Amino acid sequence: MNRRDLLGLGAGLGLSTVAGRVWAAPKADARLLVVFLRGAYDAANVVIPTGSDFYYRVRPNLAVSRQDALALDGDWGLHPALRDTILPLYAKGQAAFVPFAGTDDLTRSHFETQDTIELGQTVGASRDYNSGFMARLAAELTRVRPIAFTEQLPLIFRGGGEPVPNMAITGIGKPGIDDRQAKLIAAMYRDTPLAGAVSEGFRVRDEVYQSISNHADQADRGATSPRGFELSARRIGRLMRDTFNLGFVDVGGWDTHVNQGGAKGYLAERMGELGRGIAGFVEEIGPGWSDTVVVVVSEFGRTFRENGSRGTDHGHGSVYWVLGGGVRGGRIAGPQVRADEAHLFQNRDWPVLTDYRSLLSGLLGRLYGLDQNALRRIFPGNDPANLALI
Amino acid sequence: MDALVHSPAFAATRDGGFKDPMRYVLSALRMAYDGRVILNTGPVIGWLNRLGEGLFARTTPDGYPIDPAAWMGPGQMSARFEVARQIGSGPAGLFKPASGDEPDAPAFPLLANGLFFTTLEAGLGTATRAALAQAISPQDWNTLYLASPEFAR
Repeated sequence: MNRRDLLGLGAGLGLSTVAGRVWAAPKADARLLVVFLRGAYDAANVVIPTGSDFYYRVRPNLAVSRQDALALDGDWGLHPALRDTILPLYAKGQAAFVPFAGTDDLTRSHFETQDTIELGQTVGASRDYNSGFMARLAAELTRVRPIAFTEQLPLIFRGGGEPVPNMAITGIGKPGIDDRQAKLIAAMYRDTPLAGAVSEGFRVRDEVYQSISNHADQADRGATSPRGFELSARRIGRLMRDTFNLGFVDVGGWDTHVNQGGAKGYLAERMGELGRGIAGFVEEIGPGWSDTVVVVVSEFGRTFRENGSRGTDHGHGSVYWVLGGGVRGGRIAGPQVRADEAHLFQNRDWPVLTDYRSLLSGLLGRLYGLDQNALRRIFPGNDPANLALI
Repeated sequence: MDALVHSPAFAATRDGGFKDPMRYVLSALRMAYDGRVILNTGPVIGWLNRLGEGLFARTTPDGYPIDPAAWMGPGQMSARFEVARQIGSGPAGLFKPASGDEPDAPAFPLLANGLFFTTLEAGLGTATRAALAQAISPQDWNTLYLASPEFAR
């Protein structure tokens, strides 16, 4: 199957998938990928407050020195592990960082706060675990092809209208169920409520395998093949270039209580891999980058002071990343305070000055041209913040 | 224990009409190998992981969902059919002795068995009967049967 056939197939089936939806909804031609860093990455050591003497005083073992940090502006520096990947995007104005971003969830529990973010509902109200904000977003868009690049369907994509497919992006092999069996199985389900899920499952499976195996045929001539998140992100880039336009992926391993390292070390390696992944995604998506937005979020930040084990503990405010060919980046966006002791939240960690829902809502409104009512359906009881990122 | 199994909520978990991965995998294995002791549980663990209900692998304290809708996504359905093929096509290493050097004990997943013909066959819909009639081998028949909507219930 060539690319044109694949697109034709996607378009045809796409129509039937959205048949029940309102066609007045705005364009979904823009692509959005949400990257969730599970475990709460230590934002203060990645987007570093190099202008703060307090930072250097309270992180004697972990701080990234002013010489090592890559200057973003007068007050902020970027972790050196991102020199060849994210810094060039920032220099081109295609990456922005939003410090002091996060939730109003104060549990400091990974599980609670990850759920909070994925659900996007009002904190304190009773939670509906079957309604994630990206599922609600998908329900507002036409021509949307959502997918979760995860082993299980994440909370963020639960509920909404059509069920969202999920596909673990590493370790994809040739499907064992062949075409004949797939047809017979689909026939068994034709008159059941699962008919849609079954045929969509086979279709996504074929598209993903096609995209990945085609690429494996032509590339990898002796070059070191990417691994881990970089491999996943490159595959996601190809799939989002051709087929899907609303994606979610999560990356774990950020809960650095012990020996997280400074300019080098554990966190630096994880960050390097994340950076290479995003740069690989940009490369694979090619010209599509101009209408693509990547948002990197994490459940909370970490304590501003290092702990006794050369690590950091659960905190509050984080730094979110917004990247894209059309993003008005090259800057630190949103309200800021000085990174000193007086401005710490509960004398412990960064305050939240930009609510994640307001940030995303403002972004989605501009990206898709969604009106206030639609945004309120995605994030109930929330007002969008305009950080002029698009 | 008595209070647990006689609670209405306990019975209600079977009324969803759709097996979660744990029930799915174990019911398939019981039907295929009832009475035989599985020597190697590695493949079972692998199937549960692949279907997203690995032992002690839930990341949140709420536990795996009992709502059937949580297991019916398109990606989950196609993963389930892959597992159906692996269970239905052969012993899949389930009877590999722990000692390593000995050969696997001979086994085949016999699903078209007494239970099927006396009880389960009567409940099959016409679509499933039509698909099973087109099976080209016992392995293929097994795969299709394990993938059928009736077996999923």
